[in-house]
Amino acid sequence: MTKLTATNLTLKVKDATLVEAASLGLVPGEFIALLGPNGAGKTSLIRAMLGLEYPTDGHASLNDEDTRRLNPIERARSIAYLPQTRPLAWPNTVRDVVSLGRFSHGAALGRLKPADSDAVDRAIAACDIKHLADRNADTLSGGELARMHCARAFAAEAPLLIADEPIAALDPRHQFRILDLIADYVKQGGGALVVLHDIQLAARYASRLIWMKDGHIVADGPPAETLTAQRLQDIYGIRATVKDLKIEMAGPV
Amino acid sequence: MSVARWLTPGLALACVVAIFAACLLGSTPLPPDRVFAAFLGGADAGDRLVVWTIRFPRALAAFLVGAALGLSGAALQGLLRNPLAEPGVLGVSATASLAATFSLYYGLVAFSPWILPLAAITGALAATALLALAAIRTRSVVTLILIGVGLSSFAGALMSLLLNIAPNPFSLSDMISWMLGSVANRSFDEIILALPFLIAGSAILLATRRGLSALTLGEEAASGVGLNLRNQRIFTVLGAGLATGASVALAGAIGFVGIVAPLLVRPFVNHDPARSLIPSALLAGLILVIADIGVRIIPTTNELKLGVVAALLGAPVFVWIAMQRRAAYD
Amino acid sequence: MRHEAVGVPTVRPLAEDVLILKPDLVVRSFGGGPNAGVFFERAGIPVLQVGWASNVDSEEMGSIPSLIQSMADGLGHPERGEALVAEFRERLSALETQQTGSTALYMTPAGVTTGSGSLVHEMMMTAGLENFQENAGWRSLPLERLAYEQPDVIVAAFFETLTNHPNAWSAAKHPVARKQLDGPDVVALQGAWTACGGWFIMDAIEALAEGGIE
Repeated sequence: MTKLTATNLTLKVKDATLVEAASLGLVPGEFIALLGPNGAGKTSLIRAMLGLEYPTDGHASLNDEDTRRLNPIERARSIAYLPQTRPLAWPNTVRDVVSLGRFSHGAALGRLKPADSDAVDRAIAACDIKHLADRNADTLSGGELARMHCARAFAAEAPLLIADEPIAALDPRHQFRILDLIADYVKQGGGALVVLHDIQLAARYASRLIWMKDGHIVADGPPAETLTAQRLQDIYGIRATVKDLKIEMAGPV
Repeated sequence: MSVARWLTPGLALACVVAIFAACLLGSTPLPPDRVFAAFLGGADAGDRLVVWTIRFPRALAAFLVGAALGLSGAALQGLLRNPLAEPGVLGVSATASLAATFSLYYGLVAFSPWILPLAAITGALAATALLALAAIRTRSVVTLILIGVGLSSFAGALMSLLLNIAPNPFSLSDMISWMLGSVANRSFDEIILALPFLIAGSAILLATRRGLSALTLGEEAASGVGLNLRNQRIFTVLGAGLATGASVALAGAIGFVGIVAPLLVRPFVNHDPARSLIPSALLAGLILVIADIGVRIIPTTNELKLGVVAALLGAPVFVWIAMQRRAAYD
Repeated sequence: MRHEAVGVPTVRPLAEDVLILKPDLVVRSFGGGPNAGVFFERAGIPVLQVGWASNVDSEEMGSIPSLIQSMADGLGHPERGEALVAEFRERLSALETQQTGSTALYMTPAGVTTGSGSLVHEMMMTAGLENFQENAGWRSLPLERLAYEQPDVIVAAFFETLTNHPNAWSAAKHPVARKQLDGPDVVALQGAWTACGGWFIMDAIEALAEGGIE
């Protein structure tokens, strides 16, 4: 079984400590939501776990192999990564962008092997963008772009998925749609680590919540255990009431 | 896309036709049957000489230089994610010219004729390496272009300085040819010196073109789908440096053709940099062959420099692209 | 003569540098910039302008003897001028030329040649040769024509020094041109002989006449 683990990860850049002694594990079958205010170190933690950033202390491993030493292709076959900023340098077609998800399998745009082509078709169908497949990506709306990038991640058919704020700036309907897609992925055997700002949605979809503040992991556990009004006050500095995983926010502290 | 399927073969055919046409035209037009005969081994010795040693090498040189620049331009645009990137604009050609003239005027080529292409390539590689480093540090398109402009100007200034203090005396027309580009009087002797490096550079660029597609996602996501960023940068820079350096050794600095060709080709390949490489090379080669025919036919007192024609066509295109840039590119 | 000039002090041909030295006489062709003549006149420095030679020896303006004489007069040694002119004319009439109509092509490392309308052309005519180049003026070597027909004699000037720099695109580097230089009838001229119409052009003409006969 594929396993991505962080052990005591510390990441310091110049004088700033971005992540301090963070430990967590991601395996298939879990939907983990990574929560925390801006600047808590969520993106840095993810990048260090993936081996895109070298930790100052501690280590991250994929199946007991240090992620720093991982070949990008090996990493891409095990983990599909959706970063926070999703630029597109050229007005590629939707189908081409989704096909890039198969890059680690040797896929070359315009010359896809049947196996890759099928995976791309499945991902496009799953994300409901078949009608957009031949459109140029620069003509898509925000929601459609988000689904396209999701399709790209799913096309890789990797056991693990890491998504950094995949639903930021989307309207509620599209937020639900994307999270439903990820939930389906987990149900079918994938493992997902998703950075979210919407705590309610996180509580609703995730099987496990990881709370970060100032570079530390403060709590790690099922929503029922870790989602409390006190936690919200400590982490986000807001006053709220929590009942049966439903949050009502009153205002800042 | 049915157009795309015909693009490469169509361009290849057009290049063959253009090169043949270049052999027909000249100070004395040769009728097609005599050109054919000369190619196939018949015809009289004079015709064979004119075709094989004068016209054909010159047209071939124009094609090879254009193809190298088109290929390098398309590859650099893919790497830097920018439609304005191109060896001429970014100062690579000027630096290669500088290194080449240095080796000439300080007598280094006396040791071996290979010194000339090697010097040009060294200059080109130095420039491309510098640009790749700069591209890592700055996300801004404008900054990169400005660095290229600065590099170009600096190389040009150094070349002038050089020509004034070098031990071997210079001729002004030589410097102009290096800076504006020309394939006049090119024979197989010069082509052979450049060919190994043209082939090596092109091979590297073609072999590593797949990664250029992934870069459209940005470096973070490209890394995420499995691209080795560092290797991609190194190989693209190396290939572009070799190909550009060799083409400068053959014909001096010719700019802008590496911008025009990929621009025209991209809409037909779904804007995928990887798929734009070969058609861009062919189109750029075609453009230069035709431009060189023009240079030989236009009745000016002194033959126009090839780079002048390239700039006349390409510079307005450069400005047009710069004004058109959609926000999505930045 | 250039050996005798070794060691003579030199300055850059700038009008200001020359003026400061306060010479008794300035002998110039075009050095010093466009306004140099005006400056020298205003400063009261006499200037002896070197004329332009366009033919070897004819009644027209610009003949070499007239040039020699005017320079000698200007320098205050007319009798030396007359002696030089006499020697020049003597050598000219002693020339044995064969008017066989041998064609000659003038070649330089820079890859240029000349047709009619230049002193070099006149020089070749005087030596009894016909110019292979039919178009007037200075042009690039006619490579394509050389593929079909070749001149009888090649007049190769400036190949002994690097002052006429072989630029990288020179037509003289092309295999077709280089082949001409390997041929049997190549007359090598020192570049200085053909420069600017001195009496030493006679050395060139004599060499050519000899070459044309063989």
